[in-house]
Amino acid sequence: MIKNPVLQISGLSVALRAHSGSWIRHLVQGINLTLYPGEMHGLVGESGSGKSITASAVLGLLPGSLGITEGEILLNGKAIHRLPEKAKRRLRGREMACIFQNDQGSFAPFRKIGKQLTEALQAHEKMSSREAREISCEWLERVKLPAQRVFDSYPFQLSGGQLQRTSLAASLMMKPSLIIADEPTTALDVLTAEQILDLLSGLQKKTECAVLLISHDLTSVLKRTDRMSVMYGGHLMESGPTASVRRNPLHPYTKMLLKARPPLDGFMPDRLAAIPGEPGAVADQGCPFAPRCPYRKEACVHMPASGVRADDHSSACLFADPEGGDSIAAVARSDQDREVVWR
Amino acid sequence: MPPLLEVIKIGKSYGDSVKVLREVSFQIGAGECLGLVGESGSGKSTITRLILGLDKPDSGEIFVSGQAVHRLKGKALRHSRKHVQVVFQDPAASLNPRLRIWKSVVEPLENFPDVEPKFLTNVSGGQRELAAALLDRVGLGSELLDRYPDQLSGGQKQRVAIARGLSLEPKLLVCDEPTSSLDVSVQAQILNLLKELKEELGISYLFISHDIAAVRFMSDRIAVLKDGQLIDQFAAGDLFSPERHPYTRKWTETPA
Repeated sequence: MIKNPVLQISGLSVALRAHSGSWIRHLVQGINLTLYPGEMHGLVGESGSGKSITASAVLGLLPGSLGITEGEILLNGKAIHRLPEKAKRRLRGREMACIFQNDQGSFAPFRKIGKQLTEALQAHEKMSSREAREISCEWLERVKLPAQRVFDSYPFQLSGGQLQRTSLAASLMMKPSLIIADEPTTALDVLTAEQILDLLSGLQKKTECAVLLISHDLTSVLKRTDRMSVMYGGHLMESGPTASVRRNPLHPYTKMLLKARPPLDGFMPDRLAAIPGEPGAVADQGCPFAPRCPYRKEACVHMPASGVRADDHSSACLFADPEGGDSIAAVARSDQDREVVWR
Repeated sequence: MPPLLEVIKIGKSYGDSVKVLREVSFQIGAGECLGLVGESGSGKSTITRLILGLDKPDSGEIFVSGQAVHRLKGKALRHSRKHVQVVFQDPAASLNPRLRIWKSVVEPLENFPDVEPKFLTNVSGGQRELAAALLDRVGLGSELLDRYPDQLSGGQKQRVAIARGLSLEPKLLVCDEPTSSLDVSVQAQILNLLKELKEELGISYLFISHDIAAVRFMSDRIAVLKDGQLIDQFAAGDLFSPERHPYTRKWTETPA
């Protein structure tokens, strides 16, 4: 049985608006992304790549100066990008939830956790305070926290890891069909981060909810997600099943990102294969990565990158395999003889 | 010859109950990089503070080139600071937002006019030229000299912080999570730069991070800190040896 997608983004573009109301600059262009129930999709990109703007567009939380100029966002088949604010607010928390990087900022500082959790429950559903309390504590236990103590604590009495577990409980307890996790572990140390992601993937499997994991940390995306997309300068560079992207990256940017990480084990090179230039270097026309791409050709400067499809493993590069010459031959070749130097 | 940095059984508590460090001992040789790994709250930053002389240990001793840092006071302490410099995680917080880049870079040299770093002896001209030479050292062009920190990218700011850290030609550079707030592609650039500088200038590093792969790339030896105690210390090449502490193994198992 083919499941219906939870989230379907097609051709999404977001632009900056001038005071006069005209559009000045595109920040995100032509994004296609599909998430199915129980799937975790990693969205990778550097500062300014547009990954958080994409998330905000889905959540209906774009700042006033930004707007959607093209494309559509479907949540469980319903178009949500043109809904009025009030209707969007009803969806947030209930049908889609968000976990942010800044765990302190997710809670009001001077109100106890319990109060904030029960209030969120009661805002969306008619239930008694006692019922709300029971549900909150149950979820705090599921994220492996001392429920009673956390329920009666103020946010500042909890550690970063505990707060992030609490946000996890807060977003899952409404049983949303989509969770957007925007750099949920960036502020945490590696071992705590692992525990949080373990919890998230465990609970996700149980609740069948779809997760969009936004991160600049390739390692956790490679390890955790079913599918992944790579963004640069507001465009999708590559999208596909994570295992396939890892084994056989198509876009030069993805290849270079994979190689830039120091390897955890095996041979350690004397120098890392750094990508030249700064993440802010984005071309206004043609391929956005062209200014930093060592494989760039004449055509990259003029021709816009090809669109990345949402279904299969595809890349926006005109020359899908710059190391192997012509792109069609590269696609046809088997995985074996294209063992990529990724460890 | 004594090791460049010698930390002997230091202990530190905050308040009556919180023991942050217990009997921590390690050494760093000249030109060596020691990687220090630990979770949040394990005491990494307290070690940094003690080595920089920003705080005093309750017990134990710290020697930099044979000089007991923990006993220094006033002028002598200030004087000893030029030997140990630091690069922090957040480059935005380590640069004065109201100071032009070149001023930030030469500020340490202004504070220690008697210091003449070897790699700056053939620079002629004033402080701007010195700043330009330092920026060049970390791969930045002189067009950034008159900018303010908020006009620079995160990677550029971290390079400026490194230039500032190097300006006094310290014997030891403490890098406290120098790449955690940077993008992956820039992380690689900064790690390469730090390694290059270490090899060229022969400076010793204490490289603190919770990114075990980056620690492995940078370090000659690795020390693992847990709840204020050093539980494992070994040559970087032995990271996967079967003798490793179970906790150390946890670090190598976690990432993909």
